[in-house]
Amino acid sequence: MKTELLYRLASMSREDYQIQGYRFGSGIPRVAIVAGMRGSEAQGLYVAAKLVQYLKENEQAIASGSEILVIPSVNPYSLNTVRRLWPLDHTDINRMFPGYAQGETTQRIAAAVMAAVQDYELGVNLTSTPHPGKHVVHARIHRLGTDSVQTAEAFGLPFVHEHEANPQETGSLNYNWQIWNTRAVSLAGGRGFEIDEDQVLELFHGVLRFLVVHGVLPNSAVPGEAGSSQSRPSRVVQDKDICVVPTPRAGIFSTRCRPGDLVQAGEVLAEILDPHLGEVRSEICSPIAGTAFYVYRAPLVYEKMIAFMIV
Amino acid sequence: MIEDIVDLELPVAERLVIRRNRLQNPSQSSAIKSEGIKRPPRIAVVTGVHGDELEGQYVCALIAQKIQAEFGRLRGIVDIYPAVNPLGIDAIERSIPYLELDMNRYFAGEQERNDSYIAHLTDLVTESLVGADLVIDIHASNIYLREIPQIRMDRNTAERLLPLARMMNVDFIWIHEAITVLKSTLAHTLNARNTPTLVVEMGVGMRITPVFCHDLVQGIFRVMTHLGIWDDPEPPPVKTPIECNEGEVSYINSPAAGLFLPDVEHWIGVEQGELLGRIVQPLTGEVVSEIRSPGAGTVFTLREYPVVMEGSLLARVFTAAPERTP
Ligand SMILES: [Zn+2]
Repeated sequence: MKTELLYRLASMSREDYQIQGYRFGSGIPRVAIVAGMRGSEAQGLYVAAKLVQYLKENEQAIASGSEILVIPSVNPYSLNTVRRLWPLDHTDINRMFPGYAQGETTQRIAAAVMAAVQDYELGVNLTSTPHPGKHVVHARIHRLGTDSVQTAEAFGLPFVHEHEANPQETGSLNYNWQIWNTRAVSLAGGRGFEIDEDQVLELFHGVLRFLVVHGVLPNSAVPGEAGSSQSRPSRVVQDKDICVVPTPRAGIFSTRCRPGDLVQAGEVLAEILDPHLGEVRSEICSPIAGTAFYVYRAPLVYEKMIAFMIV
Repeated sequence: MIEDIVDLELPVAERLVIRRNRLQNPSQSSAIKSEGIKRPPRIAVVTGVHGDELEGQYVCALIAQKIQAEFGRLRGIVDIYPAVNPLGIDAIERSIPYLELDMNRYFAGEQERNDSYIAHLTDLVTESLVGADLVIDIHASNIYLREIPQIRMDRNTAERLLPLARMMNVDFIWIHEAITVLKSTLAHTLNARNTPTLVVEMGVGMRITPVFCHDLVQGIFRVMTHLGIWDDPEPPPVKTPIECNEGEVSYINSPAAGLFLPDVEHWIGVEQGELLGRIVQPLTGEVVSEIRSPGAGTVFTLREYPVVMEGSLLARVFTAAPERTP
């Protein structure tokens, strides 16, 4: 393992901002894994740290002529202050790609990250969505290349979400990686600022499986089921396949539904309660049978927020 | 007439209401109807999409006061929207509180948006504005940068918007290239729907600069006269703005971290190499950097918030000086 300082910036009052990278194996740049781009993305940081630990202990198993780069935290400044966005100007590094080395601070950071990862054949970004709820673990891609779906299926996660990039997302690492011919997949799941240990393992094993499928690690190097060469089928969903269930009223959000639960059409998934009187203002029923892809998770909810996504 | 454009339930004993004040002189409107004109001309002044920007609040108040004081001169409809992001204004937050999303990135209807209630707000605001003869979306920069009163527009809209922008009594018009992320702004969405919309940027976040507000109000009444909304046989003259294209702007980003202490006033001419400011490290007092102008020109954006990092924008200089003596 080689530890590298990829970027450093001075601050007036804090210690220097630093991006550290961990390199394993040598030769062709095969896989770059990037995490912790926002302060809310501690779950991805955790998964990346487990990967660093694993790869450090199993470096000799990496296919010869292959190099892996892991960046566990692009954004220690936001992680350490528990803020989603860049502390000084509230910009989002993951909307600044491809970056600009002479531009604003977060454009410079994005440019430094891009320079470090743009020659890799495969790119993985452990990321999150800004929704105030919890997602099932899934691989998220923008279909720019023809083989994106296949690349994403290699993780063996239950879902691949093929998502049409909106104007903002043209500034994401994932989108720009693909422009530069890296096959890129974002892995998302959970809820910002939280860690779900089961999801951490699911993502960790998913990345190991991905490395095995792409011949970067041998089957034998990976423990148990994750190393199985048998492909686990992912369900590919597009934006149009996601049934969004909004809240008809505001109030206290009460649910026992968890992401990944199978639900029936017409099943009551949640209740919205009057916060003073305790009465049920509204019951939220699933319009279709399927799997809860996303579940709102906060004590209070506005009218017309996304309560559930069912696929 | 105060109207609720959006009325949405909040969890605990409150509603999220976006209001507009529609100012209209009924006697004048019926006169127009009897002459067989389809509808009275309409202008809308919109502000507070960003909750930390207050210059537009004062502009709205000044417009309402002037119209009420001289009501007989009102011919068409003036709609005032002071608070498109009311919770943000209350919380002194630029974005929409709780979700921390910039409302001005969620206006276009054709894309997936992060939370359906924001789409609901932006759609209702948009629909209430479509069809106006002119919409003016007033922004006040942010807390970091001070801007001279200026109108910004996408090159593709310049042909239609420039003649109106020139009447607005601003100092500066900045015509920039089309930018992908701006496709989901209020202004882009309305311009795409054939509703001419001008974006004004002026002053600084969390503050009011009265002289800028008074100047802009004079421009808004000038354009209202042009549109037949305000009766003024002798409208006062307006400033002739500098018109600036993308290649004529120099961006000065900080080379170091520290406190930025400007050595120039905002909106002044500077020479090439002139000292614009210094970056100082408070722990040691060391001047870590001297910032000099890359060319002769005019400083139209100047850093207001003193703390900077490497990359923080310190100034924008309009460098297409009309004539330079060697
Ligand atoms: Zn603004």
